[in-house]
Amino acid sequence: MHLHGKKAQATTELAIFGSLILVIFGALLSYGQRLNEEQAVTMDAFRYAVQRAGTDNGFVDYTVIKNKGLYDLMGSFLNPQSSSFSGNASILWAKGESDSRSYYRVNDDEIELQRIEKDTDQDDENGDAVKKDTPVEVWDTETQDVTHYAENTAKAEDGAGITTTQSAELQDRITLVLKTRFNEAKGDNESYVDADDVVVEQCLYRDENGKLRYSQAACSGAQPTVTKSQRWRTAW
Amino acid sequence: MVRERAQVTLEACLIFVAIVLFLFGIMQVWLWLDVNIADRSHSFNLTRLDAGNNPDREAPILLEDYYTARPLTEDTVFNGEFSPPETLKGEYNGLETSIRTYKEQVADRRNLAGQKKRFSDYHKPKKDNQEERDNSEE
Repeated sequence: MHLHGKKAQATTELAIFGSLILVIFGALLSYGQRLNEEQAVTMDAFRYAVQRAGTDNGFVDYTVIKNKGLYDLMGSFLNPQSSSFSGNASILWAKGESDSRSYYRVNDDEIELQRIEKDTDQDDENGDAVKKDTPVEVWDTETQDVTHYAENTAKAEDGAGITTTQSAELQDRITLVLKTRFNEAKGDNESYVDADDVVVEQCLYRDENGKLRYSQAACSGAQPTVTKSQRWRTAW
Repeated sequence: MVRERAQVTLEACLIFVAIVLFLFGIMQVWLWLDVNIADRSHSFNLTRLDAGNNPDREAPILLEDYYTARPLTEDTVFNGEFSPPETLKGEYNGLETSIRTYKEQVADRRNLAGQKKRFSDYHKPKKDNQEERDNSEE
């Protein structure tokens, strides 16, 4: 290998492959964070379902959807990698006649899906089919995310050093559309009709504990702006 | 220009150290995530019965009611030391809702023994039993 005249070759190579290494490490960390969040959301879905099954006395299908920003090595200040996690639990817990309900908890808001009266396989004493309220099912979801992000960096230099101030503002509005349908056919047959879409519009806000959350209530009135700033000084 | 021999090798050595340190830092963060998953599972199982027997049913027993992630600190990344859970949520009905990490378990055993021992020291009784059996055979 002829190295003559090739100064700082390893440094140059690292500059090229270093970014690749950072991306790989970043992906590893994101994966770990995702595992954690998915576990938490699945556990919460189960607990919500247990509570609802107890109060509703019946079969409950509960889905939790949570939007959360993950730490991102390549991301900018206060603009995390926006991610969505979901968990689901179905529980039958009833005494006597059971009811069937379906819930969606999207971040802070709980939505019960519409129920439609449906003929069951059972007949009453008159020979008519017994009717029962049955929740619609979600066959597709659409998400729209509108983000406004602004970052400002200011440097003030004096005789003793430099003071750097970095600040950022973030507005985020998520619109989730749950496409629902209803199976009119009895038994295992399928005959679907579209039901009303469920539209959930939520805005980002900072709660009293300093955590970033989304809720429908935050969208009422002026959209909240989340801010973050940091300052450091380099002395010489 | 003076010929600089093995410059690439020298630079690679320096950079390699930086990469390895960085890798160890990432591994510690991974371990922290791992401990969180184990802690959360442990807490979830401890509160399982209460979640079902919850008489009020005004609200479900959720993770945020009884579990707080251990803080990720510089000590965790650089020294591998895990902080205990931040609040009293780490205890539920008198039971610890966070697991003890391997290092903590070893430290506990050292404290109980009242002296510093290596982890392998705790396997000594097995050896003693073997010696007893050997003696009895004789």
